[in-house]
Amino acid sequence: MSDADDSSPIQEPLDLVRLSLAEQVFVKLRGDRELRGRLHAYDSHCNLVLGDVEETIYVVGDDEEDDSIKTIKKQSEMLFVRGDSVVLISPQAQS
Amino acid sequence: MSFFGFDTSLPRDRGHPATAPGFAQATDHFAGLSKADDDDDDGIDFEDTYDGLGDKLDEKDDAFNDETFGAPEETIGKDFDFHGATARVADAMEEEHEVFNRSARNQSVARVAAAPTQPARVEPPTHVPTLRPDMSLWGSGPATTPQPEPQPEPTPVVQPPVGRRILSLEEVEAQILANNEQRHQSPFQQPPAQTHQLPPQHQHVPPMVTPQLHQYPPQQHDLHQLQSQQFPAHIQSMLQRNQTPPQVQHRQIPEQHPGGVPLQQQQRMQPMGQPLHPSRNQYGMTNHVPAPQLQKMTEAEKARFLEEESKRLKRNHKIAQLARYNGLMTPADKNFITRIQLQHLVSINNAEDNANEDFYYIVHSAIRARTNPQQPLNQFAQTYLFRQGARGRNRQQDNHLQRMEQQVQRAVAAAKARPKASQLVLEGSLGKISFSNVKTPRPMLNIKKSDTPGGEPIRRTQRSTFSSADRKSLLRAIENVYDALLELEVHERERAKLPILMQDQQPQPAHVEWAARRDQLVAKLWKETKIMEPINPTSTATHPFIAILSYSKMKRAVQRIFRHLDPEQRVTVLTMIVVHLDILDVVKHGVYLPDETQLPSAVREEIEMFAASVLPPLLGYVYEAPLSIVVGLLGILLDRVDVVAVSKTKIGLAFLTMFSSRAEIVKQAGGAPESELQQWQVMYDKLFDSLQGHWMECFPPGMFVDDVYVWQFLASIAVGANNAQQQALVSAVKDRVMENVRASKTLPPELGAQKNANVNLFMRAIGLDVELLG
Repeated sequence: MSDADDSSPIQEPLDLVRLSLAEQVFVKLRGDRELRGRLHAYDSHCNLVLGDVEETIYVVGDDEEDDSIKTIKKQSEMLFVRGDSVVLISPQAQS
Repeated sequence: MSFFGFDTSLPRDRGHPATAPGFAQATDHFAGLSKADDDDDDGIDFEDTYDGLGDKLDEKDDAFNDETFGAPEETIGKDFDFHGATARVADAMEEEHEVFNRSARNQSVARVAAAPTQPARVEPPTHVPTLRPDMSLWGSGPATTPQPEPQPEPTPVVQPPVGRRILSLEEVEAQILANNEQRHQSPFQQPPAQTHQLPPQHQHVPPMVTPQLHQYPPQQHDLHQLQSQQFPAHIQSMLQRNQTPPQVQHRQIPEQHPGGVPLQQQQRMQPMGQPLHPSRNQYGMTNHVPAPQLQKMTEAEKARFLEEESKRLKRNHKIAQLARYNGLMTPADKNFITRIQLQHLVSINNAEDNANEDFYYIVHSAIRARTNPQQPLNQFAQTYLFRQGARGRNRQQDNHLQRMEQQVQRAVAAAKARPKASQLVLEGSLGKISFSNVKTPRPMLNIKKSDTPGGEPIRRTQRSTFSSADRKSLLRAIENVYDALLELEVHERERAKLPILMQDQQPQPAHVEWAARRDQLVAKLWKETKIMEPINPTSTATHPFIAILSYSKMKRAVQRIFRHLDPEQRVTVLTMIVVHLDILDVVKHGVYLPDETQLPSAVREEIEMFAASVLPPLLGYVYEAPLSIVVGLLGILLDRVDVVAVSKTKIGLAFLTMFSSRAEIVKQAGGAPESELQQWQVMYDKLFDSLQGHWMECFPPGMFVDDVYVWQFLASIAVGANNAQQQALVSAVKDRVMENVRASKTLPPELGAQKNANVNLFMRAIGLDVELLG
């Protein structure tokens, strides 16, 4: 394994994202959104293409007295995520 | 210190010096004022009103105030110019300016100075002139000489100063055309002074020609003419009617019509958007039949003439519309566009660039062409020729057909050169014995570490580093494989750039270099797959190759990797997988749990991926492998792997099927050495015995599942079975057969037929048919 490290050293943080290609990832987005899906592609702006995505949106109740948090879930077959909304990308073990 | 004329001779010596800067001057003046009313005539007592704050000021740094805050206020002008305000009066200002100019220049114009101001009143004061490129920027100075011009009514329009323009093609054409027409129609020309009578709607217009023109030196005349071409179409036509040949008119009319509006004024009144129309007639009049001529015509002629006239007007208008954007682009702009277009043309025709720019399209179309049975040859040939064509273009004498022929020749030669079977694994031997021939000289003895438990502990340190392999390092290993693979594939494509070799030609240095580089890259790829990592049967850690193969992206890569491997490496891959068949993720997880009727979706996906990506290349290899290799592999499998467990899974059965069917084919084809056949029989019996009693476990749970692969396996076993074995087999799966036949009757026809066909695979293998079961 050590020789593998020599041949492609981790030079920048995005090299770690590369390891998650074709794997399940968890992506946190601005605007209280989260994505779980298979990472198909990414670029240096953190633009992502995800497959079989489950999107979770957290919404606080709009009344004053009702501040419970609701979650909305959406399912998408394929999703392009613009990089400027990405907060974090995390590898996720297969469930 | 005093505001209202009080005694200013205050006792300055006490208190703050008045000349010093500071806050003292800002003290409450009114305090002093009130005091002055009732107090002594000494004036304001400074001491009373002054709070002494000024004394506390630190003034030693004030010396640089000017430097810090800039010079005193003289430099700040008060003539602030606010754009809006200026714009509002701009028109009026210009008006004034012109009026002044005109009165200074020409007395006669000055007399009618009231007229030019008229438009200013009509014009909305907030009118902002439309932005328009200034033609004068492009090389020619503005020629805004005043010019006599007829004007139907003082329309509130504005036109910018006009510069001489670069004529566009249309304009030049128009001019030539106009000249021709002029020649044709010149016989109709009439004294211009009378033309005013022609268009009735124009008769109320005061004829306007300034005597100014007489003042022009003769050489300015052409400039003047140029200008006349640049008026919008309708003005042009008016001009043409009212003022026929200027050269003539100028001499005749000035006295009659002193109240002309100068061109400058006129121009300002033109609508901005109105294009400057290139005249079809350089002199702006000759293509008209003047009125008297018209009167002399017959009715029919008149009608025709009028029709022609209106057509012409319409066309002029159209051209004017089209010409709206004339002159927007400079010649440099046009050159630039032309260059870009030329570049596009060149690169479209240059497929070499295309291959780089449209790489994905080319690969995609090549793949589609290969996989799409609808249009297989045509499209593939196209893609193929497309790529090859680039080189043909470079070497122009070549044609595509020749090239195709050469390619085919090369492919056939390569197929012939490929060794059919270069090695042999003998049962019980320590390694493979490689054959060699002229094309592929090989080391005679190749120690295969994988099936020699004693020979492994060579590089213990390396193995121990990998035994701690976590998910991350596995993923990294896969990425390294892909890196190497991509590099190699890019290099393979480079081959197309090499000159083509004839069969008997010596390889050129480029070829040698390319081949060396290729070998190097293959070696790198081979290393990255970790397949040569030694096997440690006592270690609990999974072999790295098997570990990374549990990721679907590695499974997908296998097919691509296989393409670059030589037969020896291929058999190594196959052996590695067979040895670890029971710990392969798709086999390990592929076993149905007691209460499961379906595998988890993730596992199913992996199995499908394995079946689609890993099995085909292995199958492809095994179906060409000699019996000895099959025997060897099955031997390893039986030795090291729990066959019963493996047989419960789809992938495991696929391997067993693969071996037994290949052996059967070789056996039936004949020609295999007797010793090998005997070895095979031994292996087969061993396999049969170990699976005896477990046949039913091969089936997935549930009746209505896809069990075709089990029937295939049973069929492949049954073909090679002797009578006793066949009977045992049939009695074992008899119930299943009956169940299936029963079930097929309850199912819809297609599904039922499918099920029967599956069972028949097996039944036929033992010489029966489902139909016989009734």
